Amino acid sequence: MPSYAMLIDAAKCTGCGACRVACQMQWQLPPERFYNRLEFREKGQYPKVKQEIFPVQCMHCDNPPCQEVCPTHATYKTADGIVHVNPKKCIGCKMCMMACPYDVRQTNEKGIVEKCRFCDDYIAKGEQPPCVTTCMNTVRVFGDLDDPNSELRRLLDEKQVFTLLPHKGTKPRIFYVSK
Amino acid sequence: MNYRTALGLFASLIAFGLIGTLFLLFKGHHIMGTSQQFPWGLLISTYVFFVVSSTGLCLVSSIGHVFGIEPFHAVAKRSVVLAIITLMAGFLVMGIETPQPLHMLYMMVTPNWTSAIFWMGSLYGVYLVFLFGEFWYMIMRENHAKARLFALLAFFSAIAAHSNLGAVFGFLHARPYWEGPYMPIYFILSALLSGSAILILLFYLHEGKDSSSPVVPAIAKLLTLFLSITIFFTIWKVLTGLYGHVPGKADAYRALLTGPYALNFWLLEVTVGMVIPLAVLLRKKTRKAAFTAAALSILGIFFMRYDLVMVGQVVPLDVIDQMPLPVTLLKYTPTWVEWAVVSLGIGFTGLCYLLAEKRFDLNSPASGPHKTSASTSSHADVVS
Ligand code: SF4
Ligand code: SF4
Repeated sequence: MPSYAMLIDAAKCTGCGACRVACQMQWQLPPERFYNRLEFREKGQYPKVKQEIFPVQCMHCDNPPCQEVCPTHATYKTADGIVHVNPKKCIGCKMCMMACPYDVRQTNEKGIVEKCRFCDDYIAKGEQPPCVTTCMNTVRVFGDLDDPNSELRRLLDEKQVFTLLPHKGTKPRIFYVSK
Repeated sequence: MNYRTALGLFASLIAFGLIGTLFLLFKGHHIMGTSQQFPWGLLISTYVFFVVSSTGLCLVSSIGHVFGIEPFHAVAKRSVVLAIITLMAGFLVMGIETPQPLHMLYMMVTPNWTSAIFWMGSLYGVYLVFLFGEFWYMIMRENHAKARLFALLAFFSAIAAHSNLGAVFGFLHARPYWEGPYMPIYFILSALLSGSAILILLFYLHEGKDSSSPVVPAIAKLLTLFLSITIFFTIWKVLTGLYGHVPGKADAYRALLTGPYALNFWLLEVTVGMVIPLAVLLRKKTRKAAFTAAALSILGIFFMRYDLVMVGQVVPLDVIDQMPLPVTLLKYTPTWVEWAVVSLGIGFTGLCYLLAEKRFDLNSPASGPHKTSASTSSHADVVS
């Protein structure tokens, strides 16, 4: 069983937003809904100001609070690391949206919660998620943590990485390359 | 107000509510004022308002019925009836707020034991069953021993269900305004506050202002106590919230104290809901004073629930740990559709209560061993 994760080298991100659009195309989302987004932060003081960009999406946490709070097990995690939402079981209580510290869940027109699913059907066929393939600068590397030959594993072993909000104890599966 | 006018008033509230509900069902939940970043709105706080009322009625009436304190015997029957009705009103509002209510079946098929929402559904369900048991044996069967047993079960299930509702908020480590053990404790306190205020209102309207019944004065003492404790709780909650300028948390408190929720907080919650009622109760010991205090605190309590739910969401989540300053607060304004559902809940409560008052004998005292003359007082204003 693979163990999926993603590494994001945010320093290479141009902020073009192609990943967001590719994902919206993949899942046929209207413009106001998205499973991934870019967060912009300004650092430093004039005249030495620089902008940092953080691509953010569901972190497929290993200790996901969204799963813990879901009354019907509509939100569940599979052995490959992916956190899913089963639309047949979701009542739309939005408790998971409250519990997720990364603000990555949204409701669809039926009031059912959706989010990034690491394109599970797609990757089962050996493909890469469109947010990865569409990126002009290879900001995102997706792969199998347990595969010693994967690009992802190699980079994770090589580089210094961090996760967002580690103190929340969520154990994210999206890693960021330290600057 | 006579019975027919009251019926007409509540029926019109229901009619307006049904129009809003139909709009919601046909147009979809996006016509509410909530958004992706502000998922919970007026219907959630109204649900909380109703179930707090139900729990409060159960807890306050237990003082007489379960623990045998004299003047409170008289309130047991009306309390249990209104506790059932307000709980159903809460469920009604929640059912309308939930986009996929049929999927709730999965709470039984694949229950998640770690979910406070699962426990909320289950515990309030159990509580409703016990309330029905209490109602059945107390009003339909006049079996005081069994009624008392169910009242005891209802009391404990009310405590469990209601503190767990506090935990729905308190368990959310992503939301610093709610996180922690304060919420479950505060929910029990605020239930006691709501319960006493509602009972005063009810018995004042029922017994009239010149009655010599000891019910209203006795509950007025409780209301004074619970108001004072609520003020004490609120002071410490605000002080700890501001202290240390913790990002996310202190920002939320600033939104409450000096930001978009300041008018709600200072005017409706504090002045109308706590300070004036307490001052009125301390200055005058009359039934009329108790009634005024109770009516004002119920209004204040409605906005306490509103602020509690909204202020917890007003600060955007900072996922990077570098919140851009100054913090831009998220906005939420309820739409008419949401107010319509609130009106449905209020109309439903009023109408069901009036019908119950006509249909069942709620006048005779409930408790066998300690009969009291309190409840045989003059007939209601509202039911005359
Ligand atoms: S990022 Fe949020 S939605 Fe995704 S697994 Fe973690 S807590 Fe759940
Ligand atoms: S909104 Fe759906 S997925 Fe989220 S906690 Fe509620 S039932 Fe679970």
